[in-house]
Amino acid sequence: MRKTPSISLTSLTVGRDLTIIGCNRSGIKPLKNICKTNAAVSDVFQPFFSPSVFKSFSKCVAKTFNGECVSARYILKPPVGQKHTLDFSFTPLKTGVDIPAISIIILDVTRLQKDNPQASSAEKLIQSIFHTADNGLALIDDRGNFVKVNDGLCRLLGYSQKELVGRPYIQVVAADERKQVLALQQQFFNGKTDTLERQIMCKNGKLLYCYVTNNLLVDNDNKKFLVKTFRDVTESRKYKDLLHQTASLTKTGGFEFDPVSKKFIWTDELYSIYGKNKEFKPTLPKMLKLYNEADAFTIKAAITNAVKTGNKCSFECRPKMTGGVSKWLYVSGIPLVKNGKVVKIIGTVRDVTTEKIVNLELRKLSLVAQKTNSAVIITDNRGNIEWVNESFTRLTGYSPSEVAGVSPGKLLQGKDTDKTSVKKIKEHLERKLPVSEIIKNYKKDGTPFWINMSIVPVFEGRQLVNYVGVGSDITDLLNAQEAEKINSSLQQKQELFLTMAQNFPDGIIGVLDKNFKYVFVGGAEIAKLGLQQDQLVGESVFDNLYTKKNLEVEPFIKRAFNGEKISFEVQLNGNIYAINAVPLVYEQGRVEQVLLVLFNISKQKKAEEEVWKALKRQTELTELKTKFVSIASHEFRTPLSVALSSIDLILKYTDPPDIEKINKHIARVRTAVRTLTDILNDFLSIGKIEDGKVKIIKTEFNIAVFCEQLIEEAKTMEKNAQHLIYEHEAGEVTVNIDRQPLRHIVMNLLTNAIKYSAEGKRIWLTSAVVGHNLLLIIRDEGIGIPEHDQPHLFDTFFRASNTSNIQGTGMGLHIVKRYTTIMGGTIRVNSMENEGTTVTVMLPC
Amino acid sequence: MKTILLIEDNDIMRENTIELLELSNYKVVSTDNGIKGLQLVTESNPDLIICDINLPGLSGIEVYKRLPWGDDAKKVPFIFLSASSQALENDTGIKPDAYVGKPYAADDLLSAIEGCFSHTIDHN
Repeated sequence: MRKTPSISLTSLTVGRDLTIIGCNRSGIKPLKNICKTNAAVSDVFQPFFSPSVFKSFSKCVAKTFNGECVSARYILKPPVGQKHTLDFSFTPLKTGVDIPAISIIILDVTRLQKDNPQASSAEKLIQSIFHTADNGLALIDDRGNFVKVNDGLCRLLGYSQKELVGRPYIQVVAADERKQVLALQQQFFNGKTDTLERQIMCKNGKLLYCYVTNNLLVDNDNKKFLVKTFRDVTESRKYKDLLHQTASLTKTGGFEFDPVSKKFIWTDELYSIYGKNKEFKPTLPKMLKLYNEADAFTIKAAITNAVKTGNKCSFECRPKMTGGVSKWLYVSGIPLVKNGKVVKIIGTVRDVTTEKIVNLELRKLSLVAQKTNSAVIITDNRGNIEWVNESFTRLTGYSPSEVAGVSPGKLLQGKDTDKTSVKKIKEHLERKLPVSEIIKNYKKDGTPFWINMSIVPVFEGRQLVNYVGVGSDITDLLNAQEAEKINSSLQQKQELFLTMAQNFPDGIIGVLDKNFKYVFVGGAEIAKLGLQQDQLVGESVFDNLYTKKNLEVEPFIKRAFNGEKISFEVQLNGNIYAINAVPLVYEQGRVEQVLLVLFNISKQKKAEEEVWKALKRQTELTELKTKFVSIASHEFRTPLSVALSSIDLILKYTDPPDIEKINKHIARVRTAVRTLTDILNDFLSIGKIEDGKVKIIKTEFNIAVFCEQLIEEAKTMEKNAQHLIYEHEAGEVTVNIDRQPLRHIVMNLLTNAIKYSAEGKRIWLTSAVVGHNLLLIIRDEGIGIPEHDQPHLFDTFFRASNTSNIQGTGMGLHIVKRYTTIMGGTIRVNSMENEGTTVTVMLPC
Repeated sequence: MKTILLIEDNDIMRENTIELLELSNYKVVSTDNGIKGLQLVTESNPDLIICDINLPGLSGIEVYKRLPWGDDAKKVPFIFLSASSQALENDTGIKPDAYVGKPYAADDLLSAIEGCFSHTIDHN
């Protein structure tokens, strides 16, 4: 019985200093523990080689460092154990023109040589598959035990080769699948080939999903083996369906190529892969015809190079298939070198079409997701972010790591996000329904943006696994639409506004920008101010009206820009304007403009003043009436009492008649009556003045003569030994004045002087004409006016505090002042209590 | 001959009243203010007092309230002269023997005086 065929290989990288830079673990038995990194090549090989062999070996190394590819077969004689026949392949490892290292691949061909110089192609294939396959591989005997396992499988399962070989395969199958596996095993041994997904148990108990292919192998002794390949698909179970297809389509075939005859030997799988029947005898030219020119070139070059250099080759190619089917094949080959010549290339061909397509699709999809301009968010089934694409980061400013595990809503929604939109999204997602919504979100820096978001729940079977959200930033679009809307509505508004503004009576309507310049202005008042609408646009509020007013107005406008509604009044060219400033808020509370309405309220103001005046006069008149009643009751009664008592006394002196006494009392009656008349006249005067009925009628006369007459009249009232002195001091004597009020003024002032001066005191009346003014000065040495009473001197019914035992109504000076004012003159009083008073009247004449 | 004290601030009116009273055979002492009037009440021991209400300084009402007689003192009749009876109506504590409103006829004043004296006589 023959042993299981085996090929051992050692790969070394050797530096220029002839030390080992790198080597593989699995290797040729005698060299296994000697080939180590940093070991000197001579130390490794010299003990095994005869001196001549070692010399040849050294020569090959040197040649390789000179850039040649060299092959050699040496007999290795270890100190103990059997001889080994080894094929050496030396290959320079170039870096540009330099060759800093060389590769030495040593293939143990002892068994091939010794046991079966023409080893069966199947055996060779198995051997090569074992070494070239990337996946886990195992050879199972008809009892179901591992005969051989490769490193790939050991790595996958965590067992060493020793632990597996000789043990039943079933042990590594997951418990619930064992029954099924045992049932199928026999079928495989009967020639069925199949690929199945199996759960394989690792040494540490972890279950892996593996695609397991089964191929029957029958050796020359009719002994049956199962070749199993294992591919770990745990990671890619997400693409289960696709990969399942892939797996069922995956076929790994083997080939052997003879460089001399250019003939191939194919395994059945290859016939199947290429879709050929067994009649097809593959040769290199025939093979190349299966490909397009580019692929054919690549293949030819790779094989030629492998034959020439003895280097491993691998490439992808796409054979032209009948019916337009496109296939991707992955070919890897390894040359067998005999006597420095490549005698055969053995290799595998794997149909990777579906993987390729899946990968391409995945790559495309992932590219789409990654590179699309739309923001893509993938969340887990609870709605927390698992993945976001570049666009998302570009749009929101959040990096993928920042957002992982966060709810997109919490992350992106802000104060102005429409609550109903959020509710809608939430409701749909709770019911696991897709939803689309335009929603306002916020970037990391707080900038708001509008996004058109579609969210789709993703199911695997009936299980919700993800939500995928795709959104496009439509802020610009919305803004554009908004702007258009605003524009058109603005235009309408503006037209309306224009009509309104232009017909705005007695006022100006304007819109001010942030620099307090008119953006728009209109109104009837503009023309009244002698301006034109166009002049005002681009100007400050009053630039064209009254520059100084800007300072007055600007603080108010500023407040309006801060969002306040302001009303204030401004006087302008004798007009009063009520100004209302209203902030125009467009978006987010920003005040871009202020609406300014100026309304000429001069008329109203005037009317208002009139009303106030009327009211004041009314009040005054009422007051006057009340005062009149109280004064009349006292001041009228005294002269009336005097008159009555004097008349009674006159009657008592008639029999016998006492003429002297009678005359005295007649004079008293007369004085009393005159006093009454005077008071009455004062009241009438005030009434006339208040009603505005006093009319000035100017006449020319001699002021000196006029004054002398008044002095004479006053003398009838003077007290004992009082001196009335008149003098016309300077200038013209002819004046042009209304005599009536002038007489009233002078008489009143003279009467006062007499009244408030003691007996024997002097009273001066002085007149002068200075320029166009008549100056009248009345001076006395009387009781004077206390300082604190002086401001009220001209008030109606006011009497100084030191006059209580002197008769008087308090009307006199008030009337004097009123007359003076009506005549366009002024009156000034200088007085010291107990020293005297000087009244100066100046009237235009 | 009865003595009458006259307190009246208006000079002419005082003169006229004195003239009238003297013609009716009364002796008259007079003054133009309340303080002097109160002095004269004790100094001249008048049989009757005629007093104006509106006086500068001490008013007629004040004079009445400060009259120096108590229970022992001789009760002197008191006549108010005034343009207005308002002040009297407002003050219930003032009970003059007569009130003569201004302007008054000579006979009104004289009959008021006589009334006072006869009342006093009756009383006595």
